[in-house]
Amino acid sequence: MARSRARLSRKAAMQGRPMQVPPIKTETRDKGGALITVLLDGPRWARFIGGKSKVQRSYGLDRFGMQVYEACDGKTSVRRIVKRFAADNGLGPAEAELAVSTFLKTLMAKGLIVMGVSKDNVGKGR
Amino acid sequence: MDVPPRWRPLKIEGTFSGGRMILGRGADVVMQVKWWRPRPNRFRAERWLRRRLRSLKARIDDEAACPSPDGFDPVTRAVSRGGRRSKRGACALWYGWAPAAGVQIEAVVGPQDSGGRGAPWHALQSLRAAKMGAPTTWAVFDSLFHVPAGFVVDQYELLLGDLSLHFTGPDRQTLMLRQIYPADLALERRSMADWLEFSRFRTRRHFRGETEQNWAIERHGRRLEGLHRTGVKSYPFPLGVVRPRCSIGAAALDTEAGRLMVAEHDSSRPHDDALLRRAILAMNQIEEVA
Repeated sequence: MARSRARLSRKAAMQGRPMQVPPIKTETRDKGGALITVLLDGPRWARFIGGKSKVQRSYGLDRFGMQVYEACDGKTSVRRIVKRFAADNGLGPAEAELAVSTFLKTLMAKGLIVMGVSKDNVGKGR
Repeated sequence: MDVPPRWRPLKIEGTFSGGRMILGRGADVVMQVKWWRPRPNRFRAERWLRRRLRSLKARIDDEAACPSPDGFDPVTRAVSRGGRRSKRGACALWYGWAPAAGVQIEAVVGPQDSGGRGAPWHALQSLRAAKMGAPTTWAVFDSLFHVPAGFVVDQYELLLGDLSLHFTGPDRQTLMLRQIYPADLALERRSMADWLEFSRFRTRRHFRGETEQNWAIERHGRRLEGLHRTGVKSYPFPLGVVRPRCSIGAAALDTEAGRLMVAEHDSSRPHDDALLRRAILAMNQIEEVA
């Protein structure tokens, strides 16, 4: 049976505090970019046929990506990150929100960050 | 339409001839605006409105005072409620017909603002419809594009940091306007020539370059360096002789704004680059450059 996903309102998502998954290696690149290496669980099918349970994955971030990634300290809210990103790069609030929220979703999907959300806000959909 | 800064478009679809836009505060839907351009000689706005309200089982709200925006015909303007019932209550409907622009607007305002007051109604009053064939301005986030008279949008690809609009004009001319930002990052990934070559819109004709040279334009006393190319766009062999198109493309780098501005003009006859020059100069200008 499919597991039902907890719903999160936009307000709750903006109050979320993203936090970096501790990287095993960070290589600084020129012009503010970096190569982040993290240790992740290997895919199930690979484990099933006897593959490694943990695999290393490296992701290259440019300077804008690093701005957002470095702001994910577990204390700063998404709303605050968006505001700071908009101010630093001269973007409008709507464009910055769309860019940052899309990028945070990508970082979460890749396993580079986790999102801390207040328990009270989980399950409160639109 | 002037909207509060916190609003943003949740969905935009359609073209010049018809489409719809859903506006919201964050992710909450506030209103939906539909537009379409009927045949002007056959369209009778009053009759259409009567039929539309009947089909929606809506009624005209006689008490709702709602001034019409500039350029809109007040006779066919109406505010009605009921009919479209959502789970939270009745939505308000707003209809406006702009004869000069030949555009009919239908707006559906959510139950929370259906009282005839508030931001959605102010936004509707600020509606401006461009006249048929008149120069138009397109604003996407903080980017502005000014389009010469006769060109209408037919395709668009709006990605964060890469906004492309494609227009068709008289005599099957096409104009593509694009802004890429931040420019330094874009130029790290691809050269300016490659950005000029790479289009978001698929075309059956292939470009065969004739000339490619450095190019520059003056803007507010600053020199914007760029690249200019001319050539022919034609179908692949053996259809190369079937209606080839003359193509002029130009890219200019605005280092101060951090934007790469690209324009491409295709037409059946050779044209000079005046239109491209004007289109690039007018990008992100509040007032169009003459």
